Amino acid sequence: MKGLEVTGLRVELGPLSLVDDFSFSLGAGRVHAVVGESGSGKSLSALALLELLPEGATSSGVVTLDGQPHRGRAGLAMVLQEPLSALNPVISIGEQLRETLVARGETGDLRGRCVALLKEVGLDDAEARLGSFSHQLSGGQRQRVAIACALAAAPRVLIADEPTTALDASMRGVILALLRRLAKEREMGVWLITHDLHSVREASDELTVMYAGRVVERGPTAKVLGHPRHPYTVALLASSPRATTPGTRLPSIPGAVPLAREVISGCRFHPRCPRAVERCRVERPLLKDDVACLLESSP
Amino acid sequence: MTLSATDVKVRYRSAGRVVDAVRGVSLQVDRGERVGLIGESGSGKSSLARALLGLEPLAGGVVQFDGQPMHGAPRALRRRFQPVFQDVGAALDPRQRIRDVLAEPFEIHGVRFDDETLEALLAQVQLSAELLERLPRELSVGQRQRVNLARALALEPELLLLDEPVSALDVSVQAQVINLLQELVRSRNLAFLVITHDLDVVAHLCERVLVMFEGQLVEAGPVAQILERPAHPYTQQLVGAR
Repeated sequence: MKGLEVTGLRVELGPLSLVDDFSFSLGAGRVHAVVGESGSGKSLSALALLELLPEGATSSGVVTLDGQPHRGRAGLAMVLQEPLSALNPVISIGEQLRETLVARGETGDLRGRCVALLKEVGLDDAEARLGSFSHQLSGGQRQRVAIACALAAAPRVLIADEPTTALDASMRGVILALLRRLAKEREMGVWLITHDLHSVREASDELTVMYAGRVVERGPTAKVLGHPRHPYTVALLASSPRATTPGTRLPSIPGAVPLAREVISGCRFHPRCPRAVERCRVERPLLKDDVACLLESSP
Repeated sequence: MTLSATDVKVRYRSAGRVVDAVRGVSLQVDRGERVGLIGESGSGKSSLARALLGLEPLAGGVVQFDGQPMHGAPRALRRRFQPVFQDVGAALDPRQRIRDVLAEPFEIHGVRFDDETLEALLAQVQLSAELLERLPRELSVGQRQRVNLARALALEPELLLLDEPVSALDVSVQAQVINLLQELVRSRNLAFLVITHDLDVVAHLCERVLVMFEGQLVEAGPVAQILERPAHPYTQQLVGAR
């Protein structure tokens, strides 16, 4: 298969399990969103692939890229939440792009390549921007430049970790649409990591929902959002102010997201789940038919 | 109670440059009103917030609370208008137990209190009395935001200024805090001004919305009207992005 395939990924920190049996499939030209709250393991699973885990954390699992066993960062590139800290403030935009191209061993018309990259990400006036510094750009322009820097490495997979969270609301849809266009045009997979379940509706083809280190549900985006099956996905969608009549009480999820050190038996969502029964406290639900819920898999 | 700002201007000077962050804003918030102030980063909304609290020197105009100027206002006036800031972590001293966090406003204003007062304060934000002896780091982010809210409510203010009250919270916890804010407003006839970039939060919590763009108010009106018929191009973009 063309694309990225991750199977049985685990991330551990000493005795703590941070990501538990994460499996993920990303086709070429597709956008696959991974949605979760803090501590869900959505970022750690991507960092494990990039060998960028925090000190002391270890990972295991099987990764293939375009059907070949894969290790290390080759073919992968990343875009981070805050473009201002991702870009070097003391060298120009053009110089940063050049560095990446040179590191890849490219020669020839590097200036032309830089301009082409900036045009590809929709930056106005690309030629004139080569000499600009990151502080002279708006948040949206900076994120476009950060994406151009990632593209300079000609990745097969672009990992975008909360690429719109630091941006103004009016820019978010634009950047997400850009990522989707780039995925198609470059036949590249985009691994989109976000906490905002509603934002992925237009922005992704596939969707994986994580909670406390485990995948709870996955499938085509339209299907998961249209007919969510895991009680966590259902509750997360319903608790948004957007989904409720203004001024009325929001359906809220009781309690807080568990910390990694909290030991929770059975289903990790059961203490907060409105549908939980005795079984949920003891038996661990496995991902079956794309949902990890004891109540859903036994009709 | 009335908060009024008339032609407020805030100007910063840095490295020889002059930045007009707030360029002549007038607004009014009355008793029990729920008003949202929306704008993108750099629009001047946080500068305006500090100016309203009397914390930012004015380059022009005036801010008044019940007819008295907020700049240099006495404590008795300040306690009626309390802020809750966005950075939940930074707003709490990491070495201070929750008991001391909540006791502070009473001590500063010389108001008598006892354990029962503090416990009642926690109960109002739906936290249990056990948390009194804890340190901020022993609380979840959602719990810390409730403690911030409890501290602001300690002296029974009439107006709250909430700067991005839920944007640092996990999505599944946001709804709890939004519901709590609504209950508090209803039960106490509290007015608030919510500053946020999140149109959905404003649509849910507020009756009236002010839209700020490049240091000026470009649009104001009932929430429903702004959502249905946004007039300014920036507001149209925001509503369109929902």
